[in-house]
Amino acid sequence: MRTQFNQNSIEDLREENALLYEEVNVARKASEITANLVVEQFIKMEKLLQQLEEKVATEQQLQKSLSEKLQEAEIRKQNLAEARTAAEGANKAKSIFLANMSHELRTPLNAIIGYSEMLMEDAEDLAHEDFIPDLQRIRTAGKHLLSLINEVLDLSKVETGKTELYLERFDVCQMLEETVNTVQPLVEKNANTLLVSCPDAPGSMYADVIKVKQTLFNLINNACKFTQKGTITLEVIHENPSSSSPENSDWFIFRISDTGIGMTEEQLGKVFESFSQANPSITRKFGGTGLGLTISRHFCTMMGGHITADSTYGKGATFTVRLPAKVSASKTNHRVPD
Amino acid sequence: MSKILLIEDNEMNYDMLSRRLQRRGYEVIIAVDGEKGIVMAQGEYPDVILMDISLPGINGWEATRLLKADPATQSIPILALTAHAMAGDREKSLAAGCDDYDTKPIEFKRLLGKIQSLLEG
Repeated sequence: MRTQFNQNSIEDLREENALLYEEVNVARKASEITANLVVEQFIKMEKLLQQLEEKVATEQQLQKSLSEKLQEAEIRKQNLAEARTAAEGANKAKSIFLANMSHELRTPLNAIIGYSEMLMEDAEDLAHEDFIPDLQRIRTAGKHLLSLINEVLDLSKVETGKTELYLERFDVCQMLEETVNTVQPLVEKNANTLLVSCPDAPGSMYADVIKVKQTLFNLINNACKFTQKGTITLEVIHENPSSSSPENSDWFIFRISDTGIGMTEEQLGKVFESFSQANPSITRKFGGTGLGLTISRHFCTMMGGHITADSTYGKGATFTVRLPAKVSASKTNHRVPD
Repeated sequence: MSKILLIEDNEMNYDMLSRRLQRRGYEVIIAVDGEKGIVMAQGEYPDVILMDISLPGINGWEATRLLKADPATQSIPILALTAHAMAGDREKSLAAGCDDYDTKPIEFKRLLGKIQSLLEG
């Protein structure tokens, strides 16, 4: 019985053992699979983490270079602003210098012109007529120098914003007459003829009469300089002179054309720039500062109008000034776009 | 003979202008600044005053205002002279009480015409 029992027990134990073994096996397999999975996941995560770190690094790099660039740009902007301020300051200093210098130059010049005139009167009174031509030359040279200085002064005033408009109503006919009288000696100098074409009653303008006159004078003077034994035409057109038309369509057009040497396209392109006579030999031959047209353009722009040039090389030039019949004070600009 | 008071600080300018005016038969008296000019106008009763604008001390506009405010001198015509050929100076001169205005450098014939019309006016 005892052996029976033992036999049975051993059998049971064996079976139990086998079951246990199987269970352990299953458990081991399961844990192995789990471990594998965990390792796999871990590797994946590590990879992700690595990618993330790389991304962050790149991002940081980008950010760094971006901020560096921004900083650089900021510095450059500052440098530019400084350079601009310096340039503007220098330009202003130049204009102020020119204004002061012109004023200082005019005082002795007044004496040269005045005393030469006095001596001419003396020479006449004392019957020393032989002195007169030489005295006349001194006086003419002085007056020429004075007009050059005045131009420089005008431009520096425009550039420093010191030019102001003095608007008043004036008769266009009378203004033209006065301008033509002033410019007549210059017309005759090169044996030119000045033709004025103007409607019978052009009416009146409300503008800065001195600046209108100076502009027309400059343009006619210019035409005379570059024309020999030719014709200079001043044409005046009053556009929309009917009283019912709105004010802004009421314009005066002054067109000055000559039969002179004209300009090439390149010359035409920079004709309104300061000191831009076509070339230095022109300055020697024809005189002038090369500022007259620049000043005229400034004046026209200030009055709300404009000025244009047209030319065919060898066949003369035409300058057209367009000004509102009534310049409005609010429209006046002190600066002209470069 | 008409008497002209010339108020001008620049020696060459007043020498030149006074001599030229004297030759045309005017009596010319000179003051070299605004204060002296006012005193001279009050004591000498000139027929016309030629007033430079940029003067040491009070400027020509200020001197004009004082002369025009004084009953003793307010009837004396004043002609402003300035070196700046600016339209604004004309307005300022007229606003200060000047009767007329001319620019330097002097155009002698034009100036004579202006003086004559002030004397006649």
